[in-house]
Amino acid sequence: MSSASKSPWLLHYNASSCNGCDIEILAALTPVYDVERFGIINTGNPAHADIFVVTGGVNEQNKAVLKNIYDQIPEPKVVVAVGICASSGGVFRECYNISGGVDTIIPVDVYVPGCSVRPEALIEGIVKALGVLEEKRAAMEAKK
Amino acid sequence: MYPPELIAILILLLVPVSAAVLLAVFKPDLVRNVLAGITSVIIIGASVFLAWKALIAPVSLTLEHTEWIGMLLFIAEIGVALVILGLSIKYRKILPLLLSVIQLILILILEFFGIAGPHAMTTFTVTGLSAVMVLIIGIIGTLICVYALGYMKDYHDHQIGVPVRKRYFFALMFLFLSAMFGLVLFNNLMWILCAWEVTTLCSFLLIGYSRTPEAMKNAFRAVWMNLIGGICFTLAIFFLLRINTPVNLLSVTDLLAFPNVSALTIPLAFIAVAGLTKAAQMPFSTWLTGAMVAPTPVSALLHSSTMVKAGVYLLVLFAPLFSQTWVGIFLALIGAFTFLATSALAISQSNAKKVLAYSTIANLGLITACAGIGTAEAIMAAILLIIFHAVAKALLFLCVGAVEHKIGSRDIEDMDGLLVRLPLLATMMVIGISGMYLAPFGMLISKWAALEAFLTAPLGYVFIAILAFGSAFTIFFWTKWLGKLFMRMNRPPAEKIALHISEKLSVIVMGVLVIGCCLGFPAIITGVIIPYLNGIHPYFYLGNKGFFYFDTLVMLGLMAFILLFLVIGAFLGSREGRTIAPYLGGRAVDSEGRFLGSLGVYKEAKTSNYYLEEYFGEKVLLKPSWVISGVLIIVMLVLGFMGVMIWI
Amino acid sequence: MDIMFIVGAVLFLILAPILGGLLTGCDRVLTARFQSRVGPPLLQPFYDVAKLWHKEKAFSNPVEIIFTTAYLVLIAFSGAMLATGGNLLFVFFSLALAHTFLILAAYSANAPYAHIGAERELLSVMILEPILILFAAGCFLVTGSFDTYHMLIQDVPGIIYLPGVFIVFIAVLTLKLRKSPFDISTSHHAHQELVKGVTSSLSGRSLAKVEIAHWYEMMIFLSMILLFFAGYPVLSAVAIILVFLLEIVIDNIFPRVTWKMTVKSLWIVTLVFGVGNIVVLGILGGIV
Ligand code: SF4
Repeated sequence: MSSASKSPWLLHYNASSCNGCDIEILAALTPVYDVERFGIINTGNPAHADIFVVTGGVNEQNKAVLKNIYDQIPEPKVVVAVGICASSGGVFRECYNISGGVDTIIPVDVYVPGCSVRPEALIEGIVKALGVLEEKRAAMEAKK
Repeated sequence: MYPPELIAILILLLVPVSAAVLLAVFKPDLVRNVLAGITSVIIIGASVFLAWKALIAPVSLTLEHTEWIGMLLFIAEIGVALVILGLSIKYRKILPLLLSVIQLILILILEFFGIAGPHAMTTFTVTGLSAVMVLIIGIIGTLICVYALGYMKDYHDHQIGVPVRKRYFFALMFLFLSAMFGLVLFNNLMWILCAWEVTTLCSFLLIGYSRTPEAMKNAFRAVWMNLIGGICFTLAIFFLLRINTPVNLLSVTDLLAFPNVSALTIPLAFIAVAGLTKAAQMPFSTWLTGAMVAPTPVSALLHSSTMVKAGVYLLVLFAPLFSQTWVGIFLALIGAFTFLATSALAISQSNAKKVLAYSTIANLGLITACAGIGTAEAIMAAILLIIFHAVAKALLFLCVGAVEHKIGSRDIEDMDGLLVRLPLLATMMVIGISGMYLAPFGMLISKWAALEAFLTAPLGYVFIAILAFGSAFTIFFWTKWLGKLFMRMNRPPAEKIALHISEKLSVIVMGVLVIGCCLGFPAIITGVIIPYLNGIHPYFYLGNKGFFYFDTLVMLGLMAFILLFLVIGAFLGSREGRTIAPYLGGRAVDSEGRFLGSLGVYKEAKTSNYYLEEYFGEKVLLKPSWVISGVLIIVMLVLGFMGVMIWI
Repeated sequence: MDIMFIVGAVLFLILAPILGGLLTGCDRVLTARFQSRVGPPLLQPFYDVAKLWHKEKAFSNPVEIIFTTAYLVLIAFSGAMLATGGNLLFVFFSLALAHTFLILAAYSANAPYAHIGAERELLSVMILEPILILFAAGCFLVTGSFDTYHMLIQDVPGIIYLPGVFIVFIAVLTLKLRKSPFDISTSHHAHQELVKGVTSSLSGRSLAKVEIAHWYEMMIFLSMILLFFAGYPVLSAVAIILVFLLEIVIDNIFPRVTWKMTVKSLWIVTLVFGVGNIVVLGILGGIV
């Protein structure tokens, strides 16, 4: 386990979610779940982030923003789609303005289903993401 | 055969005047350029020679038949007063009119009833201090004149309504230099007064060059404030003549050696007021901030090498006398207060020339404070400040002037990314700004010297407190300007408008001078300032004064080395890597740094620097500052009349 | 003597980041406990920096590489100067220069948040300046020199003469540990504006350098406490620990201090205690 997975910094973006999942993400930061135990910090800034946590089914307005934020995160980076909306569009999948999941716009590494996700599931998903992060980092090193 | 020093002095005094006359006659640009160029070379040569001679040993020369020179200067003085009088009548300005009448009467009384007979005295003295001034006027002053040759072409292209009067302009610029040389070389206070009045007149005419209503208003403000200074100077001479002593107190050298300082407090107080007006200290600061309506070379000249430096020169010259009096302490208080207030005011300004103006006043305030304290360390700090300020400020003005013609604005907010748009000028500007406040440039050495001088002075803790807060403001307003230059580097470069060769030359030479002064500061201290101080304080020895240790030189050197290394690194270092777009909530960015709005339109996100006007605005600070400094001046005069001395 | 100086400088350059990182770790754990959380491992700051170091090289403007390097190098240089008993004014000058570079790095990013962050960082430099000058002046009045060396060999600890300056010093430490005010700070708390202001556009190695520079700076400011208790090592150690704990407490009970409040409150403290101290000392004629 290298330093990459010991200090994953999150960036959370709400791509037209109903806010249900977002509240659960914030709950994960509270004393009850305390994700800082794993060195996780909610940065709010793509330049600092490693793990991109996205909620919601992505509508027309935030497609470009989602793509842009993704580009602004330096490698290695992992995308976690949180909630069934983010994973597949969920109940909004058929809406005229919804793309139907984060992976229609950017590559997603970990899907965390649920409506809304439970903090435990979220933490589990992020721990999974750490594994992916580790792999990506190893791939990056190997390329050099 | 005349000694070479005398010839150099005569060149410095007479060549600029003659050049002024010639420049006033010949109209073609080519003749003017050649003439100004040749004159500048001669002046620079003569001033370097004279300064070199004076640094080896102070020069003092006595001429035999000086009555006719005195007469000539007297006529010049009357002429000056009459010109101001005439213009005041023409433009219906009551205050300047009144003051010039008073001045005229005073001069006439002085000439015909004041002096019992011609005293024998040294005619010219060139000490370390005047040598420094000669170099500043000779090199920086002429460089500014050279710069103006190119600048004025663009100026008239930009200012359509302004009548082209270049002959008049350049004649005045060179006349100004002559007057300044006189001011620092003469030993007779009456003659110095004459040079003093000529500088007032020149600055008045140059500020009003464009003849717009605003220019005229500001020109008259400058003239009435400086007339107050002139009157105070004359009064100082009056009071000096009233002192009953065989010593000729009109001779600066004799005056400085006069043992009974307690008899001198009244003239000293008046001299202090004269110096304060010319150095644009509070409450007289508005004439200098108003003077920025003039073409930029004029501002550069007024701020760096002439006018305001005349004021502080006078104060530093008499600093040894101030050091023993309460007049000096109050003078220092006014200076320190001005430093604090104008540094704060500079924060609220976005007009580059105005920021420079306030920073000039602030630095002069520091010099005034040092002069008022008048101990050996303080004088040293003052001279260092004079030197470093002159070069850095001249450079900055020249840059701002040229930049204004290229980007059409002198607002700091419009200078973002200048380093990409106008690389040469912006680099020079960075050097100038760093020279004003950043380590390891010279200004810090002087700040340090000032700190130490304050710490060992009576009432020093007051000055320390003022300096502490003042320099905090200084850091704030300079850094935010500096930052603007580095901002928005993705902007397209400005379309190529060639810089005039004269502008380029002056700017580059000035930039080199700033760095040179920084590297050469140990030489300046040991070679110029210490000998000068030893002339005043025979036992002054720097070694045990706690600074200028070898160690600190090493530290400075190390720091410079680190910086050099970094600059080289910046040029050679690898730039590989991915450029990510600036972040604004994930908004998409186009190639010019504009952000995509929700309606599909790209818009520029404009953020501006902090100006904190509710705290530091002119509306908030100016009036209280006038009141406080006014009270301080009155107290100083009262103390002067009471003749209170300091006993330590 | 000279050898001692060099050894001191080298020791500082090596030890300061280690200690600084550990202290930051302690701070994060303690703060978490205050909020009844478990908190990260003690070595978390080191993990963070190691991770940042291995990230992709990405920047919004390539000059920021050189600016952040300059920031780190100059901060370390000031620390080394302090450790060799060097001139206090020089330490402060070079600190100011270092911060100018950090601010320039933020300016050069061309981003709105970074710009506002730079302005506020600049404000914090401005807030600090008078205190540093008063501190230097106080040392001069006590020892007759700006060299910290003289302060260290003082018989009587400096705090006897400079209690006011010490109070001011503690007050500004909150600023220098980058914890408060929330709309300037770049600490790891969740509660801040401007997505980390001055560092908002830095990533990867640049950010790692800034982080290490913070550790150095923290050690510089904490070791300046030594100057107040020179000659009493145990007392100094206790003082440093107490001050550090106090800072964490202050940070946790005043989480929403804005920069305006900071300027006003810190400058009032400076005026009352700092200037007051110097004036009293000045009237008494200094110590030397
Ligand atoms: S998954 Fe459910 S809770 Fe989450 S955003 Fe979609 S609808 Fe809301």
